[in-house]
Amino acid sequence: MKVRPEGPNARSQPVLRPLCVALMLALAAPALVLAQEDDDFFELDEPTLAPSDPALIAELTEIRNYVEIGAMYVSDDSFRFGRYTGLKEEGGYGVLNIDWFQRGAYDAPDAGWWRIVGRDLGLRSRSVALEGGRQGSYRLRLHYDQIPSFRSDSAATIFRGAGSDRLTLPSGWVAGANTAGMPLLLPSLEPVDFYQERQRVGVGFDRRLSQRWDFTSSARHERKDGLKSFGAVIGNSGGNPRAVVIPEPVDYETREFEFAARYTDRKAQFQARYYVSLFDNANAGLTWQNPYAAIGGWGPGVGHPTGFGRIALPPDNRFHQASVAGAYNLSERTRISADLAMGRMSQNDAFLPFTVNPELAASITQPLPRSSLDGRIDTTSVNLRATSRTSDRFNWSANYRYDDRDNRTPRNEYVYIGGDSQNQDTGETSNRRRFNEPASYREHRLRFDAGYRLADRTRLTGNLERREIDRTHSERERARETSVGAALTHQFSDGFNAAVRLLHAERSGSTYHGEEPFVSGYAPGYVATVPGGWENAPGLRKPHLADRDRDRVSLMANFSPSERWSIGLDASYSHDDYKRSELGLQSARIRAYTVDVSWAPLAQTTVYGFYSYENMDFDQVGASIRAGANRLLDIDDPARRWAVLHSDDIDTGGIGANWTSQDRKWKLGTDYVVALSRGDVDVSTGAALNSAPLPTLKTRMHSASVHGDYRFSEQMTLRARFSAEKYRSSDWALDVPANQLANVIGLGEDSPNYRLNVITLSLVYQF
Amino acid sequence: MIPVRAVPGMVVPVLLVAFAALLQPLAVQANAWETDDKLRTCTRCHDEGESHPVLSILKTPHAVVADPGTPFAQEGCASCHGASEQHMRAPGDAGRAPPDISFKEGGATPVARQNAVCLDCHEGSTRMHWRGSTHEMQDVGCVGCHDLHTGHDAVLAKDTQTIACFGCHAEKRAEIMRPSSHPILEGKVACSDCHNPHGSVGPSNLTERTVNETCYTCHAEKRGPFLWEHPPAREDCTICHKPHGSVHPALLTHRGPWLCQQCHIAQQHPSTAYSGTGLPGESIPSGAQQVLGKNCMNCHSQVHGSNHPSGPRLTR
Repeated sequence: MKVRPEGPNARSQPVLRPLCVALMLALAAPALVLAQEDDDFFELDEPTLAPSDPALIAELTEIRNYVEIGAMYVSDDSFRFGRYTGLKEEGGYGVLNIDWFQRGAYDAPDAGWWRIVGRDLGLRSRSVALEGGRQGSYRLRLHYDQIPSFRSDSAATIFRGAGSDRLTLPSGWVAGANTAGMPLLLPSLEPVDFYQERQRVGVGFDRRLSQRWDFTSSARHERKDGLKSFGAVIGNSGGNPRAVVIPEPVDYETREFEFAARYTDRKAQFQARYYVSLFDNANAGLTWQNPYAAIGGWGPGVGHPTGFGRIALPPDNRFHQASVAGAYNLSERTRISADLAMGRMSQNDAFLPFTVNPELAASITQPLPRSSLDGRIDTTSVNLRATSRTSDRFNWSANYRYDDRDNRTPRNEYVYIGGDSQNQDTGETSNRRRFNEPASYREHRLRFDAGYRLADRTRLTGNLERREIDRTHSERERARETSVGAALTHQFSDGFNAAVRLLHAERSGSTYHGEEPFVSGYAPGYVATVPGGWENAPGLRKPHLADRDRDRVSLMANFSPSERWSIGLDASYSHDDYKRSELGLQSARIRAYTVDVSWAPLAQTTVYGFYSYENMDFDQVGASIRAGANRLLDIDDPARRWAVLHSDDIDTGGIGANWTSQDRKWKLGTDYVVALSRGDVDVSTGAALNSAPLPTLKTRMHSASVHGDYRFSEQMTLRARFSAEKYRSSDWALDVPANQLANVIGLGEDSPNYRLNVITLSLVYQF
Repeated sequence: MIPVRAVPGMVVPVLLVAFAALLQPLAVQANAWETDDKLRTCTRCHDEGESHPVLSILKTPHAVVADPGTPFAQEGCASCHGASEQHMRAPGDAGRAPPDISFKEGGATPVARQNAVCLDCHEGSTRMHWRGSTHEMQDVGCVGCHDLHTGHDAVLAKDTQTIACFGCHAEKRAEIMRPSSHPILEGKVACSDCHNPHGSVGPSNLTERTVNETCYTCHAEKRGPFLWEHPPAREDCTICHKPHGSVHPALLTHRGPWLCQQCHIAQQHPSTAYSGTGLPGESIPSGAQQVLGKNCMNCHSQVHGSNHPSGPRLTR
């Protein structure tokens, strides 16, 4: 700011602004006061002391666009480094970014504008958005977005035809009953890159119909293609499953459409919206040739070379939803709102046959009960809210939510063929007789929030919430949860405030019938043959259905001793107690701490640092249950119990600094980020069982960069960046050769490990 | 070199850029504000030397006077800051009086009053449920996230939005750096793709009405309905997944087979005590297929549901 004369006499010529005059005329009494102080006012045309800075004014008031063009070099291959950008191979890449906004001056008679924003145009993560229109009248939007996702670069498969819906073995394949009998397994492996890529194109049009009404519409088309890994099994039970991890083709297309009409004024707002999502998969199923030789328990023609397996891929689906929402301000302080949405998910793809193997298909005497599912879930959502700032000290909000997902899918009996490996068994006591279980869900939630300012610097908030949930085809048909929370915030000084938050929640519900999915999902004739009439151990409580007490406390403090310093502290502890679960998840404890610091030691210089630590411990208990006569004994035998302590520790930290020269020609910065994680799974067992320790799962990422801009003319800036990143990980589940397991042919992957540098050089042209 | 595969994907962006290049600039900026009395009342003091520049408001949609929806044309800065008569007087002993409405957290104007100014024009559309929302109840101000006096409000751009969000939700910054995460660091997914910070009718300020409806907007293949449903997947994706980041693959809350065993303790292999005994031995083949590779999903892959008539065990 320029230096100006100070003091009450600085403005020597008292002149009132027209608005001030109007105000004084309207407000008689205050006007007398104001009149006495007229000489405090400045004169509009009075010059200020310091000269203008045209360059700075231009920078502040004129829209600046830029194009950045350059190149970057990545020193090594790593799918993980480039998993979402495409920078996965050693070599050069283009740098192209653009931000170009054109509009008239702020007071131009025409409010027309357009803007194009392009990001990462030289990479596979490119996006570009083109928008334009007339502000206050209409807007047209076009956008394109590409998102790659690379999952692995070390996997290999024995199959040929990756990407198609039929995978075959190389000629001359020698099958075995397990991987030990497959001499060509390792020689046949061919690399396969697991990646997926989304390409989205969207268009939108918004139109203001009047001062209060507007209309918005959008359409988006997304194509997603690539490969993902899929564990594919032939066989069903009794030791006869044989699996191979195969490349699953991803060839999806999703179209979304949205239309909404909206009304807005200061008193009331309203919106009517229609949303459609249409998902299509080019592949109905994926077939693979059986690499295993025939084994006991398999039907005729299942083993190599005639046998195949086939899985169903995600079916086409449709979702339509219509909604209306409205809100009304009863007063300046009180508002009510309501939202109603009704939708329908549907899916009716033709079923694949029970089996792909013709000799097994010939055994079918009870055919499919229907040719397609005619699956349908009707959704209804109702939300009501009343909220008020009753006074400057007190505010409250009452909310009700109703969420109903009524699964109207027909329920039938399917006598399935297990894993493309057995003849159909239609016996009355067959465990292949299965009924689908179209589960419905209904939730009522009532919540009250309130806040009260105890003093100018102290605020107390609280909330009370009640949820009641009804489920069908579930172990627990009714669940309810009550939670209460409170928070106290105090501002100790202008630069120091702190808060403490508490939450307690209790969940319970109707009697837990652990056998329900089993009893309703199998034929009665089979259920009657099963000792105890259960599938899952009776003491098991599924975590999302189980009784649970939850307690959480968090502390937060922000400290700014001066404008140059800012320090933030966060700490939280959460404890879940699954108090009635004899088996299953027992408890969860999560501790987290975060420290944030920023410091501006000099003008146009900032230094920052942060550190977060999180520890998550989970206790789980199980029982190892044998088949046959031991089944009922084992569930209560302490010697056959096992317990697992999962412990995940994560440290994340970073420091950095940025500096801009006084003449704004130079900008320099540096950043360093480290992210470390350790995952331990500690298993202990009763006397009848054995266990051994598992190695720690580790990831370590270090990333450092220095970057700078040099502005060598008003328009041109040279930008440079050097980054170095090191990533180390080990995963005992992943780091095994393809032939490690007897009955599963793996991918032979390696945990990602890399160390690479990236150099980027670009020119930024401003205009 | 730009990888060959990247070339087809360049077509659409290049066409869009070319289209934009054909458009003529509509106008150039002018320093009209220097002669505009409505503005000069303020800008003669709040000039280019301000540490928190205000002149850049002229680059924003708020200042477009040809838009009848913005009151800037009639009232200039006073549209939002009020007439501020006292502020324009010479400072007294206690210093200069603040403007009638001062947009600053912890400033002279209560946050609710600041927000009321914004809501006067912006209470509809995606902000309809602001009042009574989590952020509103916590006295979060609009200016706590939005920077109005700039041509580029960082919170509106995907690649810079997290700066504002992580200011309060610092733990999320650490979560997105975990080994398994959405492409948030890369700027391809923004917080606002899933959350509406202005309040919503869904849980956790989600953009859609349920967790799963929100997930389905990008993962539509999981929607079904399927012949053989996996009930927790149908009910709530977060029963098994941590959407902000996880140390386990595929954003899972825990690692298999123990994650699966939290719900499945049936006789034989589902209830076995899996531990280091399932690791590779000295010979090949060795190891437990329920522990290594994809663990349970070496066979039971269709954890999101199967539409195959022979898929009740989620293997088809």
